[in-house]
Amino acid sequence: MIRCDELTKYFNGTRALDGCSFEISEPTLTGVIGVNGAGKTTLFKSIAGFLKPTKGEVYILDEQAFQNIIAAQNVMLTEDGMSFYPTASLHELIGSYSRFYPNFDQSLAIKLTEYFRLEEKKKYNELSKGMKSTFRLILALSARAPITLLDEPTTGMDPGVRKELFELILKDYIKVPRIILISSHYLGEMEELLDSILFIHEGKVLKHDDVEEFQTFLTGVQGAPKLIESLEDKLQIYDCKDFGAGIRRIIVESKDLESLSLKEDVMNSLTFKGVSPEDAFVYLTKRKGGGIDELYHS
Amino acid sequence: MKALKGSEPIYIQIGNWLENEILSGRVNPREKIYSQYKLSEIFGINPATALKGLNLLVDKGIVYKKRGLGMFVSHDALNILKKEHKNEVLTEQIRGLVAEAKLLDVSEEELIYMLKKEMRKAMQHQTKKGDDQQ
Repeated sequence: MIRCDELTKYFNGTRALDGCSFEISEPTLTGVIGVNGAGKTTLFKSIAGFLKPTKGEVYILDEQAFQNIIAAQNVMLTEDGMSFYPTASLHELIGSYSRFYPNFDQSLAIKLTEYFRLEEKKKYNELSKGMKSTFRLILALSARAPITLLDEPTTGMDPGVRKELFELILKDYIKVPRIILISSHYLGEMEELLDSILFIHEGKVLKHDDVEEFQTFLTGVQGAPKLIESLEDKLQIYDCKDFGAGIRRIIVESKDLESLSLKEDVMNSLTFKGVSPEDAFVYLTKRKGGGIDELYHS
Repeated sequence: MKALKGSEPIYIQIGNWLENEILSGRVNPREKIYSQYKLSEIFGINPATALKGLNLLVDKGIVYKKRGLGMFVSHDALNILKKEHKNEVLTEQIRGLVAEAKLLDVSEEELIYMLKKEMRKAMQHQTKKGDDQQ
């Protein structure tokens, strides 16, 4: 359904996407994660057919996405910078979206608008930041498009509403399974919703896998400094921290650790800890050299 | 919606939760077990993750699929579970207990005595509960 082939996009010589390749063909709730500027929004806009690739291709239902009406009717993108007709009320906006998207569920849109206490007579620009995000998400889900792209859907929302909207996304997905991609800074909060994660870094796909893989592929190993240091030469280290009091911790790949086949007495003197996908993301994108700690030591 | 906590992958937590539902008798052998979508709703998790949790039980023979009808608890689910929990969960906990006893200089006899005492308490509690019910 979505296929990116070496997708590359430059803006005035600045690289936003750099040979990004992946394929999604089954219904999924996939989290798209990456630091600011990694290329998430450019990727979404390319899939929606708003941007012409500098190099490479994006295919939606085997059609090239760029300025293609078939692609446009099958892809719903919602993002912060979306603009709506300034004089139209929310009610009128729901009406015009329902005419464009063939599967649009108008009664759902109206029910949700009421539930989240958005006044139908109001204009989009009269809403607060969080309410704008809520309304955009209502439109996006009600469109029931085979490919739904939610770019930072919960910007400006308070935690209570955010939680409710994540629940709404899940419920709607169970009702109508389809391809839903969500980018969000709140990976920890939405992790349970997802089945897969697409990890974008410097315009490329760094890792595209099941959530479980992200939950298990890094391990924290903690123990006496001497013992830990003896492991460090044999492993790729993602992070390393001295806690003092004879405790040092390193973050390594679980499969590397397994391949060492440590003896049982060594294993018993070490403590192992799982690394959450959110933390794994931080370790994987950490700049080379020291972290925040270093800044305070000089 | 129930909340899940812990560092273990969610599907493993789902598998453990389901096993406890069966062990504690809330879901009985030959009965239908929660569907992937029901679990997804109860815990607010992705349906694919819920299915992975269910499949852990299928692999052990605790749950089986009936085509078109869903998943059911197999008739010897309790035996399989008790055996497994005895082998893994209990052994694991006893290992921790022994290590702790060693740290505290508790002798073998003393530890066994403490165990017996707790066992007796649990039995009394159980009979008392049984009396209450009658």
